Amino acid sequence: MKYVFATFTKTGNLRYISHLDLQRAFTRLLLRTGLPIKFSEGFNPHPKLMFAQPLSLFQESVCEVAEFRFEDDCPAEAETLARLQAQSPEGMTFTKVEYSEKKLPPCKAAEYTLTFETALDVEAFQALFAGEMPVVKKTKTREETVDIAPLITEKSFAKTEKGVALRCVLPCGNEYLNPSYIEQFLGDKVTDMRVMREKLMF
Amino acid sequence: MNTEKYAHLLKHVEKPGRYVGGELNSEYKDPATVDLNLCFCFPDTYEIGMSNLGMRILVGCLNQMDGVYCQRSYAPWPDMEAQLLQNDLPLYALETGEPLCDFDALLFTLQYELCYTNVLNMIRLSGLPMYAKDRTGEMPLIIAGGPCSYNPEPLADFVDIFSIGEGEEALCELAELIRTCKKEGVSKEELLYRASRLEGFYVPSLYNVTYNEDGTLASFTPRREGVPATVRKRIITDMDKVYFPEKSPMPYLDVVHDRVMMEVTRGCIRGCRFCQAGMIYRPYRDKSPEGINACAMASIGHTGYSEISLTSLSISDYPRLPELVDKLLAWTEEQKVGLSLPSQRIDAFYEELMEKVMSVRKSGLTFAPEAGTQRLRDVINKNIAEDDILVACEKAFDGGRNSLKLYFMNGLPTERDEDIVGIAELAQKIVDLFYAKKRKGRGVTVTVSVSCFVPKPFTPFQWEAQNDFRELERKQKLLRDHITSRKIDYKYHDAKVSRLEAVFAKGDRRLGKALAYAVEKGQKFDAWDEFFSYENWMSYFADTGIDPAFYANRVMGETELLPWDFIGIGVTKRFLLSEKHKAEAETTTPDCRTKCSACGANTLCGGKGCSAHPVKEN
Repeated sequence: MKYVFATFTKTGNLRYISHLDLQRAFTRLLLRTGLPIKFSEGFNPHPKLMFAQPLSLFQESVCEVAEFRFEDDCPAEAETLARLQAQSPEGMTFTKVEYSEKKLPPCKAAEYTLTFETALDVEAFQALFAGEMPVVKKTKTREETVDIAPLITEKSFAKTEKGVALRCVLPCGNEYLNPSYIEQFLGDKVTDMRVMREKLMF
Repeated sequence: MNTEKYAHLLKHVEKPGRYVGGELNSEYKDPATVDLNLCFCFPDTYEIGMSNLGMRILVGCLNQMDGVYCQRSYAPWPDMEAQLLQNDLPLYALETGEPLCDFDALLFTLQYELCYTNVLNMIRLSGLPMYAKDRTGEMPLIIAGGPCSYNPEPLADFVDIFSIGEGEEALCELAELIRTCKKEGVSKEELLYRASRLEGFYVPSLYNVTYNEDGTLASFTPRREGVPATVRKRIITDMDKVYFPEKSPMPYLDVVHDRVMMEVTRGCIRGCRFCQAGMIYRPYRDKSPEGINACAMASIGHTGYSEISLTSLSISDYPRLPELVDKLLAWTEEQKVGLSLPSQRIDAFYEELMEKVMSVRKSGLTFAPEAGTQRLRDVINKNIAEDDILVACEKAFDGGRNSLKLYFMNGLPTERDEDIVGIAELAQKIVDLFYAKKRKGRGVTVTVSVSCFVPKPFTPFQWEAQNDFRELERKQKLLRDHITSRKIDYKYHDAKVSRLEAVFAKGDRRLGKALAYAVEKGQKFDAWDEFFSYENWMSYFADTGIDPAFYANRVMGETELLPWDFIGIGVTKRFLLSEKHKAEAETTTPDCRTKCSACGANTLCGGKGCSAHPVKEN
């Protein structure tokens, strides 16, 4: 049995598709490939499928990683890549397939490009990220105010047609910071934020 | 589609995935280079529309035509509607994002009466006038079909052309006609006239309707020579040759029926007297196991679904079902694809088959006795005896099941209180049956689901009045009072919803003004609890001078001209009337396979007779 790590994009209109819906679509994609997918044992057999880091609704990515398993007898990585690509819907392009004996390690951080629509120039915009950045984080049980400033690292700002683009690294795992908190912090200083996940770091 | 124009709207709606298309297997053509741009419109949410097999078939069918492009659109949920209106954007098609007002024709499917406001609302949101007479030749034609078009009259003022019967061949012919008319540059009037002369199409503006003083119909006549007095429905005669969508769009969202739906039969041999589907889809026809198996295999390959549902009005009446199931199981088990067989009748042979099928996945069991006593089951011609029901339940329990769902109706013609009490007694007997033996598990749940009888056109009960909704509510309470076991889970439908259904089911074209008025007042999604409002509807009827009781609660005379009499479904009015009389006499009619009852549907098969052949040779 092998673990398969498939890297793919989720761009364009796929940003309107939730993580849960993507999981279902991905399962069907796997079944269409005819590849020797390993199914779960039990009453309702289905392919065992994991994603390195869920992506929220309205966000795009060029670096999503899915993990599933093959039975022993499986084709070369390049063929698997081609067969996945042949079944992929609009907005999904497979860029890499790797086999492994071990499970996917946990994802530590992710790099993003956040494109803001704002009337502010780069300097004024950048200044907003200089001090504390308190936001209200809601969990299932409670609400708490957290300073997200220390979580946003390797920042670089650039001017765009309608505002500013921010390239940065945000933590995954227990410390996971959804880019939407940055939009929340900025409030009415921005009219829109587009999220592109550029790289996952393991 | 390119969603940039809508990106700022989509951020504010609950389920943006409903409005962006891009599903795998979506059809892409260039609207600028095709001759004819059509959009198939489903007047309910995306999740319901994507579950509709008919729409998948017809969209696929039309897209097979060269030079014809058929896109899709669904009713926007009110949050999206508000966004569209706020941003002054029209409703659009999911494949290309083109506004619906730029199409040559919009095709609506009418699956239930309570979607009528959504049809009008979608026309309105496309920026088009609701009334057919106000739409010019430059604007899209509004075409409608589906089960409710067997009484098209409530929508007669709004729809240009109705398609009556099965659409696979008919709609392609209509598309060809529209293409020709477009090329020749003929007027809308001339196009409509030509459409009325195609078999299976009804153009409401070409008929004159007059009424008697008591409000009943006096006459219904064509206004022009050559327009047929009777519009005959279309059917497919060879089910193995008909188009089937093996490669149709795969929804991302969690839609209602998210599986491969394989059509096995059309029509039903049973003849239950309340059932409209049982009459309008006659004659009975079926596909061969070979054909179904090949379609199913291709569909699984193109979709990646892991479930196949065999659809039919009554699957156990398909004589070659065991053969079909064996063929399917030969590969589905290995591919871990589940099979499901809905719409079942109660019989022992069937339960064995279920066991075989359900070895992959086990789902709930549903039976539909429809009425609580033998007398009433005879009246409605549901030829099931109580013993059949009990034997089947016992088998199900022995097979390890511990939940059952039973469907009933209340308000059926001739119903008495003892028939209602009979529902509770039958459910109790089934519960007792479970506990008569020592069984494993947590005990039994018998769900009793009771809907309200709605008299429907083209049934032997079409003349009947619906019970007053207060009477229906009294009967619902009566049943509640007689259910004592906590093992019985009792569910019932809102009688007020059923009343509105009856009004539109039996309505005539005078209802159009109430519909238009309701839509202007913001009424929509009547089939959804959160939007249905009986009080609103009563005020719309009052304001437009319509008496809902005239339609829902009046017994129609046997010689009365009915609003839908001009449609020919094959089954004759004389047959329906004789069935009505047999119901009154509490006598049953055998199914079509046991004995042909000369309903008239065989005239649609081109003299070849009807294919309700015997189950077994011996």
